[in-house]
This record gives sequence, C-alpha cells and structure tokens, in this order.
Amino acid sequence: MYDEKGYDFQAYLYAYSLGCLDKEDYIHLVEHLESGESFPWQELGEFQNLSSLLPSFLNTEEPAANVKDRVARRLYRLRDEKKPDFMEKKPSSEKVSPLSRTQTVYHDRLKTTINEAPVSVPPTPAQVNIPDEDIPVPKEFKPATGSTGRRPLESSRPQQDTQIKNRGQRDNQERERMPDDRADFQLGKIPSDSEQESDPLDEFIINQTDSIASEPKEKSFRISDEPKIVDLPSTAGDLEAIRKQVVANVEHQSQQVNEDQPAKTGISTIIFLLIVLLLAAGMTGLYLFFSPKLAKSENELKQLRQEMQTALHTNSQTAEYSTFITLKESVVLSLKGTAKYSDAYGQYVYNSGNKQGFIMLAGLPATPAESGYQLWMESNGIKTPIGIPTEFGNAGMKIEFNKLSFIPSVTKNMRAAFYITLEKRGQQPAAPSKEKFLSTED
Amino acid sequence: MALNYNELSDADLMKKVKASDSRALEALYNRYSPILFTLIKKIIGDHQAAEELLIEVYVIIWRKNHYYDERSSNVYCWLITLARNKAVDALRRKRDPSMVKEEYTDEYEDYFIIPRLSPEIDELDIQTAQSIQKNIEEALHKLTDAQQYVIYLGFYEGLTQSEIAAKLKIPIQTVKSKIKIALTNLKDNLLKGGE
Repeated sequence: MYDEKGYDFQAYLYAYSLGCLDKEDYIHLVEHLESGESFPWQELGEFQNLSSLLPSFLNTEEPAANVKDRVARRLYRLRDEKKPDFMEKKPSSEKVSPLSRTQTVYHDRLKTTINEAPVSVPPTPAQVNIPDEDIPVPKEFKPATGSTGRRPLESSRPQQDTQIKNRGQRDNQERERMPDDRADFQLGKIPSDSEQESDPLDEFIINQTDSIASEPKEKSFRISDEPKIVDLPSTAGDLEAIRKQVVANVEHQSQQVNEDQPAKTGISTIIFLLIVLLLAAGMTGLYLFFSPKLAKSENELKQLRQEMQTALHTNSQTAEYSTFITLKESVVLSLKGTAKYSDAYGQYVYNSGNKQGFIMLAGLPATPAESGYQLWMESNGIKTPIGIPTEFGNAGMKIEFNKLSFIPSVTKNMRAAFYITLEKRGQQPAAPSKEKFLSTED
Repeated sequence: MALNYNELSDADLMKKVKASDSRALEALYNRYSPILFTLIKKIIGDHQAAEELLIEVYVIIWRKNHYYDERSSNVYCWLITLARNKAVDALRRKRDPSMVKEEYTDEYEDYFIIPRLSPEIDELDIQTAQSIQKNIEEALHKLTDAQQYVIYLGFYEGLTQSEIAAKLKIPIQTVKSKIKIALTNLKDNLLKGGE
C-alpha cells in the first residue's frame, strides 16, 4: 500500500502499533490515516490491542497512596486555571473519531518540515532477510519476565529530568501549601465551585484586609498564622474590590507611619542628647574627683624624684669624699658656728695637690633666692673667695675651687683662716660681708 | 440506590468521565493505576518520576477524554497506549537533548501523546487483559530472542526504528521486518495458545 510519494503505510502499521515509528514516518502515517483513504483498520486494531497487552503480565506495583490525592489537587488547580476550557469542551454525546479529529494547526506545521524528507525505498530481500541469530541480543536480556525490576542493560539509563520533573516539583510545592485537612481528599469528592478552596493569593489578601480592619493602628503588616475562614469573593469584581481596599488601607497606614516619623525622630534626638550629657557629666565628675589627687600625687612624685636625685648625688659625693679624704695631701678643717649661729657646724677638706676641696655645712639658715653662701680664705690680711658651695646639706658637699683664687697656696707654715659669709649670687664678691656664719677660728 | 462505580465496565466509567463525573475517574484510577504505574515505571525506571507521570496521565484522561472514541469500547488499549506514549516521550526528552527544545504544548500532546485507535479495534478491558496474561507471556516466550529484543527496544526502551537499527547496527529495513515478524508471530502464538 504505497501512496504517490512511495510511502508504504501498511509497513508502518506494525511500528505504529508498537509505538516506535520515527517522527517523520509518524507524521506521514497520521496524515494518511486522517485523509480518509483506505487502510487496513482491522489489522491496525489487532496489533494495537496486541501491543497494549504486553504490559499485562508485568508484576503490578501500586503507586503511593497520596498519588490519588495529588491527582485530585492537580485537577482542582486545572479547573481553576482553565475553567473556560472545561466549559467550552465538546459535549460527550458528540462523537469524535480519533482518526478524524482535526489537528490541522500542529499537523500542517509539521508537514512543512518534512515535505522534503527522503522517500523510503522498498527494502530488498537481502536487506530484510537477516537471520535472527545475526541480531546482537545482549546475554542479560530476558524480555519475557514478569518482573518490573530493571535489567542490567537498563541500569545505565539516565533518570528522568524533563518538564515532568519540574511539574513534580511544582506539584510538591502545591502539596506543601495545602492544609493537612485535605489529606483525605478523594477524587470522588471534588467540590463544587462554591465549596472549592481559596487561592493562596486570595487568602493572603483576605488576611491582610482582616488584619488592617481589626487593627487599624498596627504598623506591621503580617499574614495571620491562623487564616480565618471567610467567604471568598465569588466574582472577579469582588476580588478587584478587595484588592483596591487593601491597597487603599495599606497606603493609608503608610501615610500614618510617615506622619509619625518626625516625632519619633525628635524623641530619638532628645534621648541621644541626654545620653551625651550624662556621659559628659560623668566624665567631668570623675575628673574633678581625681584631679586634686592626681596633682597631689604628681607633687609627691616630683618630690620623691628630687629626693632620690639628692640621695643619688649624695651617695656619689660621699663616695668621692671618702676617697678624697684618704689622699695624703688632703687637709681637714672644722668649721664652727659663730655666736649667732652656734648650732651650725661644718667641715672643710682641701687638697693643694689637685686643687680640689670639699665642704660640709649643717645648721645654717636657708638662703634667699638671690644670695648664697661663700667660702673665704684669709691669710696675712688677704681675703680670697675660694668657692661657692653649690648645695648645702648634712653630708660633705663638693665645691669648685676658683683656680685664681687659690693662688695663695696654703702651706704648713702658713697661718690661714677660713669662714663662710652670705653673698649675692652671680657676681664675684670683692670683699666678704661682715657677718660670718661659720669659721675655723674661734 | 447508590451507584456502585466499581461494578461499572471500563466503557461505562469512561462515559461518565466524559460527562465530568469525578467519581468515575476515581474508579478508573483505582482500577488502572497499578498497571499504568507499573508500565510507566518500567519505561522510566524511577519511582518518583513514574508517580508524577501517572498524575499527568490522569490529568490528560480528565481533560482530553473527548478524544476517546466511545464506539471502540476499548478503554484498556487507550489508557495503556496513552501512558506508554507519555512515559516514552519523557524518556526521549531525557535521552535526547534536542527533543527538550520541542515544547510540550497542548497541540504536541494531542498529536503525539493522545492515542489514535483504529475505529475497527476490538473491545478490550482490563479484566480480559488480566485473564489472558499467561497466554501473552507464553506467546512472547515463543518468539526468538531477537524478536523479543526488538519488541522490547521499541515498546519499553522507546527507541524508534532508526534508533533500533543504529543500536543493533543493522539496516532499518531489517528492523522494520523484524518488528513485523515479531508482532505477527506474537499474534499467531497468542491465537494458538488460546485455542
């Protein structure tokens, strides 16, 4: 049975029955079947039945119990989404032959893509008569098994990942959104339009509306955890009205929030300033509390540092004095306080060899700032300023000898007297003041 | 007296489904879901995907039942072929990336998934099919391994004739011949077994 293009449609019959026609052949055959031309319909029916019997001896397996509920939910959703399709569906009394139905849109589109397809050439006997033994059947192939388990040959088949999978995910999401009380839903209990559940968007809007209406001053908009059962909008107009109401309420509340915003900002500023002031007051109090103590501590520290320096200096001088006094040419003289300063005393040690000397003074009154004590040597009526003690203390004090003033050297046979007077600082005194504080002579 | 849907024939149930009786669809589900699920799972090989495809199949039954020709009175063949086409389409889309580009539309579904049964097909229902399942198994066993294999590749693996030829490295004309011989022998074996 060839057509004008050379297609052997009867040869297609078997593969068509088995469902393994190539796409182009399938389209050609469907076109032929729908053309109303002659065809071995009886034979086609026999082989279609035969192919459909192939799974009949498989060991059947039940799908999960919830699959039926998922079918029902899918139908629910489809009815909501495509209600017009159902309403426009052809009445059941109208007979529609599978082979006479017109699917011209898709069919014509497909035809244009295959018009130039190569025409099948009738097979030669050599091509067809290949013995079954020459067909490479895998050893593990056991087609006549009733088991639904997959053979090793099939184990490498990739998993399904088409739009079906996505549909599955979508369906799972739908199922998760469904309340638990729908778990017992049965296919035979598909409710009427008035009983059907609300769309999640509708529930959201209803919750929003209810929340805003009952709590007009609530600033946060949230979906109620326990949606209240309310009558659903029955028409698109009702739904639109609710949407508008929700939008209006939301805008109103947003406006209220915006109006309250400056007051909130002012309060926040005041609180912030109060905190700053409190911090400043605290810092000031702490400063005032610790400041005198700090000053006192600072003075004490300064005094201690001075005493320590003095002590160190004294120790240093004492050590040097101890060495100096042991020298062979060192001469030690005692200074006694004059009548007015009888409690004062001193000791003067000098060495003519290295022209250095030490003097220790004690019991003398403190000198004014502009004055200082001056050591004099008087011999044969000549009064020579020897040096000025830099400091006074109880220990021996090192004094610098003026080399020039030491010209009259002190010999053993020479009679000399030493005494202390108070002179102006910063200038070389020409003659000693009259008042003597300490002296080697009585 | 309440109507017992479980006692209705496949054809009667389908009539009620066409009249948008959801309880008839539920009865069809109870009656056919095991064999349809088993078939789909054998083709797809994945339990979860098979469940999803089964749902899709019942959605098609509900939405496009007007394509079912009541005159044929062969709900069994229509449902088996529908489920098989749906599963094979999913399998081919997975296997052949170029097929994914072909959008799965209503038109596509009408053209490639919805079965076109011969108007002269004999009546067949699930009870009859189950009653002769041993005969089918025996008839299939009587085929040569090669004949069984090409039937298996075409029906369960979803391979087309040219794909079978490529897989077996034999001319496509040989594949066509083997399929024809295999089905003819299967029919003969079945008829002989039933005598």
